[in-house]
Amino acid sequence: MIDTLLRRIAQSAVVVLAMSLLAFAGIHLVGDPVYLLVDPAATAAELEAARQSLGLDRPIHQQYLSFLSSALSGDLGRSFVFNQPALGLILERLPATLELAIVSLLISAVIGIPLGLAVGLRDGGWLKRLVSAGSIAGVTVPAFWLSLLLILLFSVNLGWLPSSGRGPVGTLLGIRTSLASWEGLSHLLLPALTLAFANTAIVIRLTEAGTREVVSQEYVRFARAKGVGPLRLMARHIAPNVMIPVVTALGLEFGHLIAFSVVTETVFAWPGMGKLIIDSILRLDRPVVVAYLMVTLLMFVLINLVVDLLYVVLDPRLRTKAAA
Amino acid sequence: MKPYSTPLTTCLTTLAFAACLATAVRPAVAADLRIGFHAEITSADPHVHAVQNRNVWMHVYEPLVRQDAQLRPAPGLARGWRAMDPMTWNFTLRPNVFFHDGSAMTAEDVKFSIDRARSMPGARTLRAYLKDIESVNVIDPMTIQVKTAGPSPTLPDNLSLVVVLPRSIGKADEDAFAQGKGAIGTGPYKFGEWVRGQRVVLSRNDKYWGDREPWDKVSFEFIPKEPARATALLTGAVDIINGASASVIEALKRNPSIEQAATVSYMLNYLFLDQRPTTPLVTDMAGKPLPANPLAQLKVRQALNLAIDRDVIARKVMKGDSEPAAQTVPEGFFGYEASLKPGRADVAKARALLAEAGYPQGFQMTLYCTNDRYLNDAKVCEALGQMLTQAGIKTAVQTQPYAVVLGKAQGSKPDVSDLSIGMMGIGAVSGDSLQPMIATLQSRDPKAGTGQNNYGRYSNAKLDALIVQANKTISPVEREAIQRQAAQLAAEDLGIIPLHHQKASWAFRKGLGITPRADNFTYAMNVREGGAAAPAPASK
Amino acid sequence: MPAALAIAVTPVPPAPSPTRLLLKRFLASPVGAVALGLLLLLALLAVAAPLIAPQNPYDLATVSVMNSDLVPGSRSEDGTLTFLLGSDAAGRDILSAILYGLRISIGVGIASALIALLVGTALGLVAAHFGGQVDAFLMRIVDLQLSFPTILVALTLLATLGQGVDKTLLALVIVQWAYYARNVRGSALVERRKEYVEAAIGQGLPALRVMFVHILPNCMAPLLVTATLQTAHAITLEATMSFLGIGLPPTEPSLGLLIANGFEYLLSNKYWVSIYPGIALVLLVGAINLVGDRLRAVLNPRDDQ
Repeated sequence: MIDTLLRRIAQSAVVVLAMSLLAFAGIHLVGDPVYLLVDPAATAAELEAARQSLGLDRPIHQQYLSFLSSALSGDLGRSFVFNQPALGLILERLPATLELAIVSLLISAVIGIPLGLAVGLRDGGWLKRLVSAGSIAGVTVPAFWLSLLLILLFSVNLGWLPSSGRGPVGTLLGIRTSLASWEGLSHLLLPALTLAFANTAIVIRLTEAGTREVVSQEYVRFARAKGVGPLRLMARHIAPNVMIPVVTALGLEFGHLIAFSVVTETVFAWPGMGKLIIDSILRLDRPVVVAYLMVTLLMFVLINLVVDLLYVVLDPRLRTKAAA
Repeated sequence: MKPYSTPLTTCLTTLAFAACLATAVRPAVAADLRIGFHAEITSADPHVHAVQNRNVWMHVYEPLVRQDAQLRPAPGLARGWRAMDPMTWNFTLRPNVFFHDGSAMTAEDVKFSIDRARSMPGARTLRAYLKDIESVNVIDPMTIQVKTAGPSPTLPDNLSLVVVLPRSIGKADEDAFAQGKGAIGTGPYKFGEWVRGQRVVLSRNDKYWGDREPWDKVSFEFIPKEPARATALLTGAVDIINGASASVIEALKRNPSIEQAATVSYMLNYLFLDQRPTTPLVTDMAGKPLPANPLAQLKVRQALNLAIDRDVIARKVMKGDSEPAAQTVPEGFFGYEASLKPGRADVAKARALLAEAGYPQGFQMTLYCTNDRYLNDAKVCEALGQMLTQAGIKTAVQTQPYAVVLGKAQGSKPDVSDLSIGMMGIGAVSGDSLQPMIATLQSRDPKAGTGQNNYGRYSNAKLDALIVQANKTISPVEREAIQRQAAQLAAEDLGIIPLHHQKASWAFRKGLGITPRADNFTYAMNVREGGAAAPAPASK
Repeated sequence: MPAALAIAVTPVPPAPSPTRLLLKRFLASPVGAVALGLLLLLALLAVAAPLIAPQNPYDLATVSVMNSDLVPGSRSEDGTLTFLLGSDAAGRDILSAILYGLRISIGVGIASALIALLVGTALGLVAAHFGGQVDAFLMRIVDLQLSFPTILVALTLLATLGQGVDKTLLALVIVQWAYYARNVRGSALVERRKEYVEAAIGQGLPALRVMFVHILPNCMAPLLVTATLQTAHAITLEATMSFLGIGLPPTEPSLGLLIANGFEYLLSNKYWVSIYPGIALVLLVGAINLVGDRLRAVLNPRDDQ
């Protein structure tokens, strides 16, 4: 167990390092960020001075090495555009993205799991066809187009929901979230629905497949033969066993949701990390791009690790194996 | 009209939003102004140079010299100013002005502020505008003297960019401002909060020296995407938006509770042309390089000028959001020459001129443009490509992000441009034609700092002489006459081909009125209840 | 005696070829049949775009800004052209733009899938064949890459490489190869244990030959399914990146870019600039996904309900 953990961490460290190198060198080649920062009428001398102040006049390998050395102490550089620590900017926007991802995850779980269970229990029927079509749609319709459609319908036509931005942030159960007010919730709804759309399809498929497999197991048939009622059957025998793979998959999906929020945040101007990264790429704000990639990678490594551990914890069969 | 009476299917299939729109526009809380703003603020330090930041911070801080709606200098914290000699300016300060912390504003604070702006480290500074200043001296508590290295007739205009901070903030730097320290100005509004990426909230300064503002609170909501801004206005989430271009105006026009205002802005889009003996991206019709650069010939430049139909671009591409131009500044600006009007397109004459210049078959070239910097830039370029092709110059269009195009225009090798022709923009930020002419038309001299945007290396000795002379003339009347002459010469020689000035546009709920500004700034001080007939606020 | 011989040599009708069987079973599902038909139609339209499109939207001599923003069904200024699906702000015919956009989207999608297939298959076979350290190393990389969402990988690559068709292709290939590699390696490992491979190795045939002539053909079935679904994924990913402004450059407008261009028309009545390209994209990706789904059902009878 421990050495797998250590190996994992070591590998992830290598990946993060490689990624930072790639991002560093790459953005350097795409364009010169100085032009976007100084006044268009700046003289050559001022351009040089600006480059010097940002450290861009040094050779690229020197820049990278100094970046690495300060990264070890937690300083991932300063944003060229905001002149604030890049890591700080990302962490500032992290709660907004987490809020969006968590709410989307909940929506797709709340809709997807019951539907998946229902479809998995019956064989065929109109529900299965409907759900099948829906899940194909979920995988096919691109998120950005769906957001346009939702904005068209709910914001512009019906005027029910706002089309951009995050609502006021209040405190609910001790956490600062925009769910604390109706206005905050109304801003959250469209982006969360968009993000949840594709994810719900995946959750339904997973739950359906899992349910079908569990239902065909001996112990379920045995319980049925014993005369266990359908509700108790579901609650005590089927659902818990379906949940194990589903919950762990949801954990991995959470990471995907955070990554995919890039698109949703851009369309809905949701002030999260995703919007920041796209803006930063277009503005050639290299420190922020590199910081984002490293933070996200680390998050992924963490999520994967947690999910693996969770899997062992939840599944008693693996627990005994691990102990052995 | 009930918004849901139209069948949903009709709404979806025809997407005739206007008919389906909810007409109820939720009114704001009494006396609060919510502005849907097109950009996000990048710094809380008002001495950091960023155009959109200045729009917001001009509510909290004030400069010595203000810019009126046409960007002409007007008294701000300085009641008046005089050039004692060509290199010395005296500014008389306004008495009884207090900072938000109660302390009185004096010449010491002004000296502190100007010195701070001059010595600010980093990339985003105002130093380019203050480089002529040699020293700032306090004559008495109400008089400040600025000495320049050489004659600097535009010094007062340049000082309109520098706001006055209290010297009590000491060494507070950008980080300190970001944490909320040091946000003390003299302006009509006080700093409330800045939620990064989302909004800035200001509250009225009841002790302001000027006219009392009607708005209790002013908030700038950052909504960079235009359709989202328009939607926010329609749903009543904001009261006024800036950057309401033609693509959203049409939808907004159908709503009787929304009104618009627009004016010509300082942003000029123009074509720069490589003037070197040979040029990289121009070939003959068969694709073989030409022995000489056609763009260096006046007749060819004239042909290009005649091939471009600015009216069609204004009507069909910009849809009314531009004003065709023949010089660097629009009407009403300092240095505008009234006799220079953009001519009508004449494709036949263009072809004739090309033949006269020795290109009866025309030639090929690649036009470079930005796709993320100016209003409709990529679309304008495509239209230009079409028009030039139809006049005999087969034009391929390349649109790329501004950073990339600018890098190519400046040249990958020192002092060599990679481009032959491209579309760029320049703004007469100080309402004066001198700076744009220096930047785009004066011969390029990196040491002197002239011709920074003269990507084509255009060089005309007579024009240079006029520009240099204007830059030494302190008397405004004399200077303007020289600048007008220069504009005339520039239009004859076509060192750059001016295309059009962009318009600045706003949309707002019925009942409001705004005094449009040529720099596209949205000042709460210019927004009043009372509709379009609202009087222009005094002393602004 | 002759009668018995006669019975023995009664000719048996030849068995239908496996591809025929496959097709027959595929078409047994109405959804699959429709999807395949739609896909072939779209592919045909894309290939024939230069011939059937009313206008070449990228030839500046034929496009005029005088025809901009026309409602679907309008005629051009000089009456020579009918804009069946309307025109955009530069005067380009939306129908033609969609046809050319389909071309680019399909082209980039298939090209990247093919290259990724080749690279991934080669590496997967290598891993399966050599086993041991090589296998462990390759699969570690595959696992690491697959644990990150594709959009993140694409974003990183495009942020660092910049815009361009070649760079987008490269990014898409890097995103996809791992799926193929893992897939092929799994199948190859299974095949390797089978008798016919042991026989071939025992015969002394060179490793390469065994890999490509014996093992690979038997891995094709699941590979085909993966290829189909991955192509759809690649097309959607490219559209998303182009929409965000970091994918294909504006000179090669794919469907994603067309949709992005139409975003600003959300509020005016010019819905056609965004909606129609979006419908085309959804039809394309949907058809590919359905075909892939049906292929999977057909090739794995156990999963077919």
